[in-house]
Amino acid sequence: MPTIELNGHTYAVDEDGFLEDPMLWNEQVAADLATTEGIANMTEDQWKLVNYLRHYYLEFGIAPMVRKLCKENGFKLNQVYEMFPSGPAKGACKVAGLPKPTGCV
Amino acid sequence: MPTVLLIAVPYVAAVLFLGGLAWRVWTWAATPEPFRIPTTTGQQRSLAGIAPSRVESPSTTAGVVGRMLLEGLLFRSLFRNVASGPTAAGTCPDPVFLERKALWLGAMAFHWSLLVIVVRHLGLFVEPIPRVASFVASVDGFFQVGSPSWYATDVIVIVALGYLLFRRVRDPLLRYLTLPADYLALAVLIAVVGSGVVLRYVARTDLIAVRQYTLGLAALAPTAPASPGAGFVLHLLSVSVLLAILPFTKMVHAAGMWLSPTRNQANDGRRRRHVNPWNAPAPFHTYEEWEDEFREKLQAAGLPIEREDGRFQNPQAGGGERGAPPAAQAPLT
Amino acid sequence: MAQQKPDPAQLAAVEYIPPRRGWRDPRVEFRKGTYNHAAARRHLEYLGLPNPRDWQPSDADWQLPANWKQIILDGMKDRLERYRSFRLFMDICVRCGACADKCHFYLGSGDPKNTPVLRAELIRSVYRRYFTAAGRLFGPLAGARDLTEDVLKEWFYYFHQCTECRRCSVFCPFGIDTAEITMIGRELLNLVGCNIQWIIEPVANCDRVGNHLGIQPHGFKDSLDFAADELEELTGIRVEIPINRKGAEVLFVVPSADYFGLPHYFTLLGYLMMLHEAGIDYTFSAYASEGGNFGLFASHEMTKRLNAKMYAEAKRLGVKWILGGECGHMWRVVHQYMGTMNGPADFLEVPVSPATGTRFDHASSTKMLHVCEFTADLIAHGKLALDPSRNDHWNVTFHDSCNPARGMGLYEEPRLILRRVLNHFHEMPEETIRERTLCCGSGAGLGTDENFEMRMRGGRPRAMAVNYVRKRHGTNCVACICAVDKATLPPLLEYWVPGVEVAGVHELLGNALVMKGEHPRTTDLRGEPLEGMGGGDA
Repeated sequence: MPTIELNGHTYAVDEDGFLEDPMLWNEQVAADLATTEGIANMTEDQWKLVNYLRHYYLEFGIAPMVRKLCKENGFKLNQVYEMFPSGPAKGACKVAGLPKPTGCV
Repeated sequence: MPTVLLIAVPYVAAVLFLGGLAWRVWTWAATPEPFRIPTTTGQQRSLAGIAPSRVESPSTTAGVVGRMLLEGLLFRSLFRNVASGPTAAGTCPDPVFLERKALWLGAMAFHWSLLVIVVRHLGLFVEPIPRVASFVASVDGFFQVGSPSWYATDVIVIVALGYLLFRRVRDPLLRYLTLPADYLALAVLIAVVGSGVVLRYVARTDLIAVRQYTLGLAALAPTAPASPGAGFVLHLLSVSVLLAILPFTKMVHAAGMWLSPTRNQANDGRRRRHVNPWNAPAPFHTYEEWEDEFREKLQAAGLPIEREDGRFQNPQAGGGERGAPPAAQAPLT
Repeated sequence: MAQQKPDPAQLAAVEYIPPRRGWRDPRVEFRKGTYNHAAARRHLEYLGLPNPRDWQPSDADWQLPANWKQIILDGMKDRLERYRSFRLFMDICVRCGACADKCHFYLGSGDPKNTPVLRAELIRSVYRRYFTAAGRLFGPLAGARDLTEDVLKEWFYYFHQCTECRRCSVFCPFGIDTAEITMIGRELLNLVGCNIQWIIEPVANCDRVGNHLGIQPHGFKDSLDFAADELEELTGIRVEIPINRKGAEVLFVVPSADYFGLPHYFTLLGYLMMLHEAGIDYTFSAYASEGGNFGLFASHEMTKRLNAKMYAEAKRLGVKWILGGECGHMWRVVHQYMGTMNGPADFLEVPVSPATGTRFDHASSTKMLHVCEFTADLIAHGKLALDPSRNDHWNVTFHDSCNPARGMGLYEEPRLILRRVLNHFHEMPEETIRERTLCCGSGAGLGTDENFEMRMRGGRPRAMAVNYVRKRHGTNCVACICAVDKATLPPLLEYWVPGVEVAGVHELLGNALVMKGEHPRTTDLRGEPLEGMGGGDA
């Protein structure tokens, strides 16, 4: 299983760089993972999305619908892409420590 | 060539041909068709206001017969051959074949000529000469060019074979994927046609003697001709080789194409149930197992469930064929 | 990791010159961007599939079972005896090459092993070596090859560079269908544990939770509730969305991406509006909450195992028939496998539209209807009020999804809908639509990020056809009826033809649909204001 070292911390991740165990997440992990998405310092808006995702994940075991994520946080989809260039499912979810959604997405 | 070979070789070839072909067809036919998988090249039969494509997407046996006849007699699918995209706009790669209908034309020319030639040869094996054979021969020789007059198909088949060989050698991709066995098939066919042409137009043979011999072969009372000549022996040998290897090489497509499920099945997958003779049981995750795992979440979300109070006693009760519940996995959050 | 995308100009410069070394040499280079990650051990363990282990295709040692060769050969023998298609297609190819430039992966990569004929030869050569007299006697001369570990790796590489789209089978003079060969090839690879994550994880999720994404019942309800709220905002009408409701007339099954991803979600809104407007008594199921079937990309057995839930749930809920959403490979399974695998559906009734009274005899055995068939029938009977001008900001073309096209013959139903809900509709060139439609390049489980380069290559012919109508007619929207398309066409078009969006047929229907009692619409389903209407054929 691959590991990745970020800012001196070592994480077990899958081949896509997603956290192997989503429960081992905290804000430090998020900040570290964000660097792999080219984000040096998380903005307030980015934290807002990540925390929302995290909260939803703990309740439902999965990321919310992309539409819901955008709407309930007051962002347009392209704004989410500006914040997380790999997109909501692949970028934001990774930083929030969620598993990568698979299927026809 | 010893006399005995003139008799043994054609019989061995005939046995290999008929036996091999029967064995191949029987093997295919005996293999089940588990699913209904036609390639639909036209509109399905669905709503009253939408015209179905009766042959390209046949829903009836008559449609299937039509589709197979178009394939077998006119090479319908080969005729489809198109450019790879909107090349006119210069936007899409058009890498491989400049030929679009040429392959179809070459294949049609070759196969139909061969058929005509075979029918012409029927007269060598049947007494009296069948009317169809003499009729085909007279049409084929209609142009009366040269002496003896050339059959049109003799010219066409030579040109077609030449083209089929030429394209294999010329096109880098085709050359790359061609097997020695592909050249063998072409070589044998060229030998058959070449020796036959030589026999008719250059080193003429004694047709009366040949016919006596072939009629004898057909009547299972063979007598070898006294002096057959090298040309005739070559023709006989190449034809024998062709017959003998046909069932064991790609040339067996002549029989196999008729059994192709993507073409000879009707597009009626939802209208009639296709039965798979070996339909293997596949255990699946039952509703009961699922409700047992998600009961609390279903209840919390206000979704209806079967058992308000506790687990299903027997997880198999719902008809699932799984023996044991799924292997343990990390609990879902 | 933010993707390093290759330069389009570089990918577009394809050379169609075969390599020097012959195709019999099996060695492949697992280069990043052209292959998919291996399936995780835990999913194989959960599903009870062979040889679970931690590995990647780029590893030198694939940790195959000691007797892997025997397993493969036994597996081949077994399938040669059970599938006429497989046996016949091993025997009758003449290598005429008519299929070669019909494959989008060959067009996009120039790799001769991506021609359908050579893709099949990869396995045919092994068939000849071990199962035919000619191959045993004459070896290479007869086109035979030994089965080696390199051959197995080559199979893995190239059978995951085929989207089972069946375009080649349209042009083959004998109807040889590479999808059949790829499906069997992948089945054999599964026997020794060589499968990919993007297929096996959705399969495991679908088996256990009910859908590919692993959305649990309370999350399913949350998503549908959100959709109902949003529809109310859009139209002023509150639609009912029942889940697991017994006694409904119809069970409605859609691909799970419809209630997760974008732009799929807008299609979901369209369905909900149509079902409400037609007054259908239906229910979703959280247990059978997946229309798609990634089992199809693993093995026939897995296809059957996942598909079985639909009938089981229809029976439990006591519905009369099943309605299926916009999904590509789902409909290959429903139309060509479902009745055979899990029928007879004698506990259901022949679908009848409660709105029009139409009896859908073409589904009289399987008892499942495509939502486009259902809606087209509604429109044909004048049951839906439509205002196409609400789609005037779209200039649309239609991409026939491979499976409903070549595995079903569903060509005119979606077009019937589109022509009634749009004012601006233009077809792509003939050789790229209907039975000759070009694949998105990401089907059959290949729509991964790590496979990005190969997807862009494979999807290029389709993108070029879109580019053609974009230049000629100003097309800015590709309509389609497949969840994979909705997921993978947007990045494809952004890469090759920026400025073209992707929408489901029912999204466009939802825009045009005038619901009884709706308040004036100010936006389309995407929330984009409708003022900008009348842009027309820009």
